[in-house]
Amino acid sequence: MTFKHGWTGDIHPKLTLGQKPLTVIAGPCMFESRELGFEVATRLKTLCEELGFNYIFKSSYDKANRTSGNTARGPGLEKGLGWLADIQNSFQIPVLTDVHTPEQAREAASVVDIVQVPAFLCDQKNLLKACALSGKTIQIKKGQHASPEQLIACADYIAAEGNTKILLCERGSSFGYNNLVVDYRNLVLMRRSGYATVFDGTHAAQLPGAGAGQSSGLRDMVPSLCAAAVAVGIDALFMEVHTNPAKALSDASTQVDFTTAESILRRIKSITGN
Amino acid sequence: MSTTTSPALLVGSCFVDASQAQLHKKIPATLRAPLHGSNSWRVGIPLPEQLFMERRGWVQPVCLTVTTPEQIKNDSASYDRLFIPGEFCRQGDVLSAAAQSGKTILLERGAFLAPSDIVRAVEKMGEARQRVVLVEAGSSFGYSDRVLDPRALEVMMRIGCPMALNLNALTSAIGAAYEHRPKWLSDSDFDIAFVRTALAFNIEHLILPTQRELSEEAVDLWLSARKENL
Repeated sequence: MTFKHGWTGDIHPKLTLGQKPLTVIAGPCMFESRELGFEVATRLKTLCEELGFNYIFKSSYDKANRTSGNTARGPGLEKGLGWLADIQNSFQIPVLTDVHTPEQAREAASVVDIVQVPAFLCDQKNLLKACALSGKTIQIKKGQHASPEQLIACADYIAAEGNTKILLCERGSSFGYNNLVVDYRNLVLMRRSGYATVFDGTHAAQLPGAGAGQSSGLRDMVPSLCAAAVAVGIDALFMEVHTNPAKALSDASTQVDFTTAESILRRIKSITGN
Repeated sequence: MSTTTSPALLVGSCFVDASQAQLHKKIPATLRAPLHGSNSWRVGIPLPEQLFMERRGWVQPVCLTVTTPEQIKNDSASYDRLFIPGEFCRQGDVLSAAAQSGKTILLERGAFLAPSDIVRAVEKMGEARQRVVLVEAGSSFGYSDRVLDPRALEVMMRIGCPMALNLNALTSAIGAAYEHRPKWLSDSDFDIAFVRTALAFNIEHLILPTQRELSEEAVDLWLSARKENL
């Protein structure tokens, strides 16, 4: 199986996207501490191996676009990339993080296997170009305001810069104020484009800004959103997992705990058959 | 343009259209342009710095569209005002750099953001909120469409900052690749309605379309209603 422009899906020596089994991209929203990252990576790697899924660790070193300026942002670029490298080396797994400027793209690409373009910034050409030139695999989140065709055009822009290792990620569309809906037609269109297609099950459950200065969300909807996406057809599932979501420093309303994560993975295994 | 009383037209957006800038030479105008057209869907030739500086000579002041803290710091000699596009209205580093610039800041509400949440972005400016002009550019209404919600204007005005209405965003095609757009979307026929709305809410500034002329009727309506302030 190959993706658009002949990309084979090679992300890491031990992981090729698109081959069964399904790939799971998961980790804490914010890299709150090295210990948190290691605990989540340990549990999820073990769980994915047991259930037969590929596993990629994700976490953010800087939540640069929080709803409010009075909230934590994370450990910062230098410390965060160091922790990501530690996890990458200790577990021999690929790692993903998000970048907000061309400079961050270049620095993050020196460590991570996948650089992620945040949804709000999905059509920022300078950022897309810097990601493309990094040579690393790029995941582009679809803006809540953007059509799937708009996202595909962004991917074409990156490919024109010579980097065809591209993942398109659906995370919900604005549906009035403080609300998102997942339009599952988008997954069909994105996959039909030939690019690798990812579904973000936890951000899709957000109610942006509905928490009086912070994002709220419908955590209990995450399992069903994920199951539906897997049923429609995706190449990877993205979700944020925390040891104690209620105490998380970001996205506390949508991150899931280990018990829920295991339940989700068992449910989607029954759909994919692995 | 000040942040408090004097209304003005803002000319240009991602790229400057010479004829339109000429049209508005006769009235108070601010040139709005980036040095780097980073989020444009049009054939992407960023306005060369030399041309940008040349045009400063006949349309002033200059409002620079910025997307990174580095642009704000490095290009400070090139601009008099800053424009932060809606997509960046929550980017803490951009807002912080803008606040430290000492310049007037036009902060656009993201089309994805609830009107009540723009106050969080204003709060990120700290003391610089006194220099903020809030820009309304519509709310996402399905793919590739925006609506102007009068409730959003009401909510944003309560924050206490001067306001601008972005006619360019409200009447431009969004998402060039979207092929299923109904024909009536992004129609310039709505210019008059938007200008009337701006006047009804006592909005101080208009940002003009960049790829076409605003109709003479709409310009005259704005100028006649505002002439005592011009």
